[in-house]
Amino acid sequence: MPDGRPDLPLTYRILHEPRAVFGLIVLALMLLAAVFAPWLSPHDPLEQDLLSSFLPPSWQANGDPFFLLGTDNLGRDIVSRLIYGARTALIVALVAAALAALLGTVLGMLAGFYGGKTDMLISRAVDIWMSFPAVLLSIVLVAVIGAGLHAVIIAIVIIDWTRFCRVIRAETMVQKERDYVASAVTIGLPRVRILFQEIFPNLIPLLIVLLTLEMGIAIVVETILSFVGLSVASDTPTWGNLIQEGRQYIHQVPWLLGLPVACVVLTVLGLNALGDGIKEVIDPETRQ
Amino acid sequence: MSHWYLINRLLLALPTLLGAVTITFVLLRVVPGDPIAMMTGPGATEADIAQLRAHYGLDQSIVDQFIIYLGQLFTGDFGTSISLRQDVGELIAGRLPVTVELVVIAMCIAVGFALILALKGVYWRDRWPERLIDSFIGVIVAIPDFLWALSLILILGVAIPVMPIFGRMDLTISFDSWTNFYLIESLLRGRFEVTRSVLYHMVLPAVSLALPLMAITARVLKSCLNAEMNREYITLARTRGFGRLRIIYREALRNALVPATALSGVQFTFLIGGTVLVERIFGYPGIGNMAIDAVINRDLPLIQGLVLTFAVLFILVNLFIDICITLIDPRLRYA
Amino acid sequence: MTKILAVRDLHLAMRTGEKLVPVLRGINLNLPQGEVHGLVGESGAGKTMLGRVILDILPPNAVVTAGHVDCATTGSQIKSGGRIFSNRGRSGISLIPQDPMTSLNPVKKIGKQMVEILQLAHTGPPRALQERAEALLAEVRIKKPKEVLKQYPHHLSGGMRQRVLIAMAFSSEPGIIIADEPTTALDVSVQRRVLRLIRDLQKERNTTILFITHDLGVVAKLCDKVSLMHSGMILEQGLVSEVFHSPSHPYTRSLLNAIPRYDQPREKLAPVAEDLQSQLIDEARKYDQQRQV
Ligand SMILES: Nc1ncnc2c1ncn2[C@@H]1O[C@H](COP(=O)(O)OP(=O)(O)O)[C@@H](O)[C@H]1O
Ligand SMILES: [Mg+2]
Repeated sequence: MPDGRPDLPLTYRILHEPRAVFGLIVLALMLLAAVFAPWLSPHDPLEQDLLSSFLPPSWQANGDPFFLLGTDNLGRDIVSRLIYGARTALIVALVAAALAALLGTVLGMLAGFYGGKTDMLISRAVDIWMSFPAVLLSIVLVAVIGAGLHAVIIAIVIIDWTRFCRVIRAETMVQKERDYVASAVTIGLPRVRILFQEIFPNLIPLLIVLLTLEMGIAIVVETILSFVGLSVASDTPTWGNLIQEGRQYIHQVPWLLGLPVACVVLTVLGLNALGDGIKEVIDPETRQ
Repeated sequence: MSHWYLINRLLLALPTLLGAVTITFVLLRVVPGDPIAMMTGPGATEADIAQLRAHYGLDQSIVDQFIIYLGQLFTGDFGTSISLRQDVGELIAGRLPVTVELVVIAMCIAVGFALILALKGVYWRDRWPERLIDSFIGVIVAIPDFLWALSLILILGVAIPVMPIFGRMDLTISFDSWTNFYLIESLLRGRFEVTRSVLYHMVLPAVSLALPLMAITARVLKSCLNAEMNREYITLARTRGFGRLRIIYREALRNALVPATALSGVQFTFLIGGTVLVERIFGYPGIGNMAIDAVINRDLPLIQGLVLTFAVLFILVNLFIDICITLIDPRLRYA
Repeated sequence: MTKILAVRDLHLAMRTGEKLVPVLRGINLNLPQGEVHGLVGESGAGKTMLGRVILDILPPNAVVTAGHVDCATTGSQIKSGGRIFSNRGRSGISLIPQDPMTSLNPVKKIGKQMVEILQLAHTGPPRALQERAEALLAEVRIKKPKEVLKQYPHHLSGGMRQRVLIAMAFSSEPGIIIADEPTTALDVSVQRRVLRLIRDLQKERNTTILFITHDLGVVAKLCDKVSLMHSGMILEQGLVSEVFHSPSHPYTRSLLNAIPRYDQPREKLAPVAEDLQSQLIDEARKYDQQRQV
């Protein structure tokens, strides 16, 4: 068992944790699809062909080998739309998770390290924030900011910084009591430097876990907002838009809904598994 | 526990409500879109628009609008929906029972199955059934209700079409409801074919809502139960020869429910938030579905009323959970 | 005198990870009916584990590696590999625990907890069991037994809770009781009264007691025989009067020297000189090596 060998390097142990490997494979596939979308897609995802709408996957009767997984209501190629959808999803996931992490981590570190009034102010804000229903808040926020990818990203950051803040605050408080901090204090290092140069590196493993999980959440939120019609324009290929179309034509073309749902589920499961796997490798005791 | 405790709790909830009302009010007034323009369309004259604007009170300053709005709230007047041109209070009163029935059933499903999973998991501790239950919980936790709803539609609505996936009941049945609580009302009036159809339509949305809550609650309850099983009074019960099953059910369970309820309480409010999407996906005519339309149409009075309604629901659920904890744990009763 | 409890060459180990760590190393113990046997040793010596083997409530990672425990009042034999312990036999043995604050179920009224225990051995209408519980509480000198039955554990003080637990332990008329440091968690003044209560109840019923304690003063007042334990081994065993008068093991001597007066209860055993301590640990290690060969 990898968790019985704390002496081995971290990357080695992560590569021997099955859940983490599954997550890494999913992430790698997404990255591949996102980066090479123009080369991988057999068609232009926006190209409409009303004569060949609602084509089934190519291996079924009436299927066209030209459109591997069939076409949607406007005759657009589903494979291409899925691949470009991965691009949108990944951009949202990376940018939103990074920004939410930045905001939440800085505030969490300040609250955990300085305590007192700073902590009270930040923790109060987190409590109030978390008492709002996330879905409703994101919909209202996007309605306020206006539809579009940037609005989705801003909404995710505004809602989800609290996830980082809470956990990082608690971990900073733990780290603060460690010996290396005490010795840094005795040498007389300035407090801000202790926080960002001594404590921060010790928060990185936890931060990676949180980032991974947040990427999954961001992808779901983007999908939700596209589905509701508040994300990017509805002809842009995102998984949420595909799901929205698929829901309308569910009885005629169930795969139009099934394929993007499968993509989102697989991605979310993969990112979750990656997060759990890394967490397990870093800290076997936190196992449920 | 006395009624003073309840009154106190309700009074404490008032500032939260006022906060929710204020924040949405301010947030919505800075929205760039113009609801009146949306309502009238391109053919309207300046005068028409100005008249409508005055009719909905949108020509006054934000502060004045807010004071007027608060005053109306106190008299039970929620204003008039811009997109549906109906009284907001009546609109919500018509839709709220739909959501309440769905939420209550979903919560019962979640709690029931969470109990079964947690108790079985603890009973089979360190053996393969426990590991099976843990992985099952792990997969379910990872997927949000939105995706469960879509997956269930695909599996049980389309691939094996055994479940209805749209609406609240069969449209062929006619049922004039007085209260809109179809489930209870049809039972009381002996219209069991209505009850059946409503329940049947409720299965998939309720299960979608229930699954994530069930998994999280099961996980929390299971770890609380395991912690409880290591306590001294359990050891003592073992020396007396009580069986393992009895010890789990009659000694540990009630003790574990106290921290487990407190820890998973907030998840119950997430379930209410989840109705927004799940109702949308299943075309379920509740307030969640209505909220999305209200936002898309920028129907300010309706959004305002719905947010207030959701806030009240949250507060009630939290209150209910607090009361449950107090009832379970005698140590809290006279505090 | 009938023999109630016989522990023969008992070896116990705990599984931690891959390894089996020895906890008890060849314990021998004989308790005839009516004897109060003191078991003394510093914390970590294995006293509680010995009690748990006898009660058959070992944690799942504990293994009996050799030897056996025979108990006449329960008709059970516990040994490596298997154990025979019928649920009905359980009424022949009971435990007075160390910490009264955590040993009662916090969400059940005292009355309910007592009736549930009584139901194991007696059948009868609830009213009768209730009265029996009341009588038991009166026997442990609780002033208003009727009211206490209606209360939850958190309403009672530590001393009261320990009385309730003692009543519960005696309720099934067990032939033997394991008392695991029953007064360590109590106030000094309460300690004395609880000890007297245990002694009186024991005298009336001629119950056999294995009395685990840190406190040699208590042993002197309460026990007939005593065993001194260290690192899972019994170093010295004998009549209290003899052991206290002419201790044969240096460990016993150093413990006795450190007691100022027998009648003053102590929280902890006096510290033993470090070289003696490490010598004893060395001996235990050598013992393990020899057994493995
Ligand atoms: N659950 C456990 N797992 C592993 N070792 C244990 C466990 N419980 C106790 N031990 C070990 O068993 C030894 C005896 O413990 P115990 O019987 O509680 O001592 P005492 O009651 O004399 O203070 C100790 O050295 C302790 O480290
Ligand atoms: Mg002990």
